[in-house]
Amino acid sequence: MYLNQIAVFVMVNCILALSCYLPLTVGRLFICYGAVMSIGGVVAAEAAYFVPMPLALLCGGVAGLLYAGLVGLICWRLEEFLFAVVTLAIGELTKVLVMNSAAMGGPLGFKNVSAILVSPSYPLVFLSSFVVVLIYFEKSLMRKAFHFIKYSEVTAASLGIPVEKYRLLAISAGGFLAGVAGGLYIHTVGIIEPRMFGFESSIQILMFSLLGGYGYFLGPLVGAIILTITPETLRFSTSFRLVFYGLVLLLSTRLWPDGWFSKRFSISKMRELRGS
Amino acid sequence: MFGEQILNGLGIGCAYALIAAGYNVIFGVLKIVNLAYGEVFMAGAFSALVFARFVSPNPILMCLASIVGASITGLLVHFVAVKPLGNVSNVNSPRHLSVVVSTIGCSLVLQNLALEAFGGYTQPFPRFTDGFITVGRWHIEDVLIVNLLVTVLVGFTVSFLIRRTNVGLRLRAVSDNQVLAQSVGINVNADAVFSVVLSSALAGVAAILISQTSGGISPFMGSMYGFKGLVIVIVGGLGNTVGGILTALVTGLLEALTTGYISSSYRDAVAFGVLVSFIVARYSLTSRRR
Repeated sequence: MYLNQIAVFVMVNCILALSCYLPLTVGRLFICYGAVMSIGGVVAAEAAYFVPMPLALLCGGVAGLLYAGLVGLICWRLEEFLFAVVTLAIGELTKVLVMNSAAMGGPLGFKNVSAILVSPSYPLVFLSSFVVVLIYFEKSLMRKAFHFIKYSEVTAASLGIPVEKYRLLAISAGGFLAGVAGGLYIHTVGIIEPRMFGFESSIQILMFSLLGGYGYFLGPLVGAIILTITPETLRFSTSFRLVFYGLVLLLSTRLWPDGWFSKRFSISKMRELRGS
Repeated sequence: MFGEQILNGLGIGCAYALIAAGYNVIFGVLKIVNLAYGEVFMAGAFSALVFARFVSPNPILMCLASIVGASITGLLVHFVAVKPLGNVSNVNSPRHLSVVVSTIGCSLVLQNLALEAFGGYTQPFPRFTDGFITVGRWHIEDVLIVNLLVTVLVGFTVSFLIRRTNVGLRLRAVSDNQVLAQSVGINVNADAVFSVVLSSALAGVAAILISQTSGGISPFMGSMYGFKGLVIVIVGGLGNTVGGILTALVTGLLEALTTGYISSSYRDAVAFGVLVSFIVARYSLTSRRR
């Protein structure tokens, strides 16, 4: 039972890591997937009363897509660093608004769940289908276009790549993944607290990609698996878990600045290309 | 009522202004955004509290204790999380992400150590004065006046330090062009350390001011005020000290007016909403199509 739960968490976090990976491929730090995921979760939980579970999860995904797309539109053409801070602030804003709205559960959290999924089959199916899509995506021409956008906007635009549209596409696609993950999360845990909307969980999601390495989609997966299992194995000292977690972050930025697993398109390679 | 709210807002805004100035000092010299800065601020507040409990509750000594505690923490963050990553000269470089990660790691460690040491609940913080000054129909808390005076004093001291002294000249040189500064014999590393101490001292003073107005401190205050300070600095313009201070004061006013006239639960929503819409209007809508 316990192992089952951990397996579900690992898979949900893997989907979240992939969601955050997509904006990173176009050079954008989207730090509000916590809010996107939670909105997807709430919508999925509401939809589960009317439609079968897989469809409800997809509804959550669509809600996440719309919300992420909205945030992406708000941040249209912002520079990299400003983009990160504005998305962070929008996430916090969403959290405060949610805490004040009764429909989203208020300060106690949203608990209106129709069923609790025990088996890891749903996460497994969704995760594997996303991975299959991403394998094809990594080989596609679009991935190369994304890499050009990240490496040099001006070059990309001069090659006729629609920079801002592709960015929005990447962000919204990530929003879809996050929404599905939110649906899976709420149907496993049974509650979404307002804290989940805020920047703590968004940064947590970002960590998977930053530590795993975001040159290739396996990096975020590796990051998610390791970072989900590490706190669980540290359960012998519940109090100092997050301290250990912080130390892991600190050490790994020094030891592996490119992330634990980054096969293609790594930071050092980008620096080589930039000549700096 | 309205005048009192304005004064309340200015009292909070002053503390935000000091935090914003601290961010700007670090950004100016090191060109990094330190996400553990909120934790430096929290460390200042807690060292003042510990000092008051075990040594003496003298306000000036507590303020010094806060400054010393914050400076030690700031130096720790600098040498553990920022310095080893090497030179990070551009906020938009991919390398900057590793500073973000390592300072977040640092802030997690500091926040949870504080949680272990002091517990998660809000600790009462001794107030230096409890009096009122009555001017006509207004009842003004002494604390607010002290806040305003301290901020003005600190502001002028820092501005004197930056504009008129040798150290300030060096700091301005480094923040203007690091390579050129190095080539005329300025020890950039020493100045970086000095700027860290200066910004941490500002955080220490701000911590005292905020704990005076709110009356309590908790290990979570760092991330909250640190993050708000970051958004304020971005709105004011990174590296633009006057802009940062003005934005901080406006934010404080907005928060006080929201608390007074709408509801305290919407305080952060209004502040963030206005700041975000400002950034979007300033940078997103007005930027030319590339």
